[in-house]
Amino acid sequence: MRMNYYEVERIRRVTSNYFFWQGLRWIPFGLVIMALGLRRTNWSPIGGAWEDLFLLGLIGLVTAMSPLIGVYYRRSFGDVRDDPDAHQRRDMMKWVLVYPLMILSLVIDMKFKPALFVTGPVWCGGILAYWVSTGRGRPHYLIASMSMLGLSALQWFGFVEPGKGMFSVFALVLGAIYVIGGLLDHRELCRILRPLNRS
Amino acid sequence: MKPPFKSLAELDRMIHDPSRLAILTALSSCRSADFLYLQRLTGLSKGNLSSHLAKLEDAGLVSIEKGYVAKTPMTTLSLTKEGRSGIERHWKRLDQLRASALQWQPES
Repeated sequence: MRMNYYEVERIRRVTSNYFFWQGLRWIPFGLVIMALGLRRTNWSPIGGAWEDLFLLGLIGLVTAMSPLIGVYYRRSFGDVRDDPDAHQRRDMMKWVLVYPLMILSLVIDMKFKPALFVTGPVWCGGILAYWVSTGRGRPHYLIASMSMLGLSALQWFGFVEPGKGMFSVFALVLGAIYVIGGLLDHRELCRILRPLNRS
Repeated sequence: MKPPFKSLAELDRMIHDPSRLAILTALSSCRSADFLYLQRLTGLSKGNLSSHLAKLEDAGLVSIEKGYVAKTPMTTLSLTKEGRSGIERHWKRLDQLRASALQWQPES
């Protein structure tokens, strides 16, 4: 096999962030977020109480699917046990700074409806932080983070009303990021972890 | 100053072999990994990977643990203490060599 600095970096990145590169894990969450965004809107294909039942069913399905996807990855690509000491800083930043800021921005936008959709730049930063802390290398996260800024522009130029309408658009875009990003992460993992050589 | 290519010959060949370097680098980025993951990462055949792992185990760099998960045999690999310090030293040495190669000027 060939080894150069690029290859070595790739080995390090994918091994130390193996869980996060298992893209299929994120797709069901994306579908739930999109269903949440469509709830109680004119765009929803299902009406009334059925909508809540559908959402509950979807959440149940996602909860059941998550371990199955884990088994699929373990059987098809192998298993890696993380070094917990290696990610202490990332975990600390995530729980102390990034997640609270992301939730706070959503609360501000829903409650106070400011002219600028604060969630856009904050979640743009959150996605960039996720990309950096999970080994970079997947350019689609740069596009995803920019799309969050695009949401702020949509509200700023008056295309979407602040509040509930904006939340629906945000949830649809975020869900699509999970689904498309998940598929592209999976494709990248398949490229790095080559098919088995049986000779 | 010694030309960098002369220093290359002094590198530990047990670690510097490309396949073994890939295995050790991967294992240095986690607590442990299984055989299947290393096989897919390196693209080596089962026999080739087993042979490299046996050499690394004999050199005391890698520890191999065989067990079962839901009745399926599973081989888990991890670096020993010597293996971890060995690969760190090796990468440090390679970085130094790379830096000196960039500065090196042939004597006229």
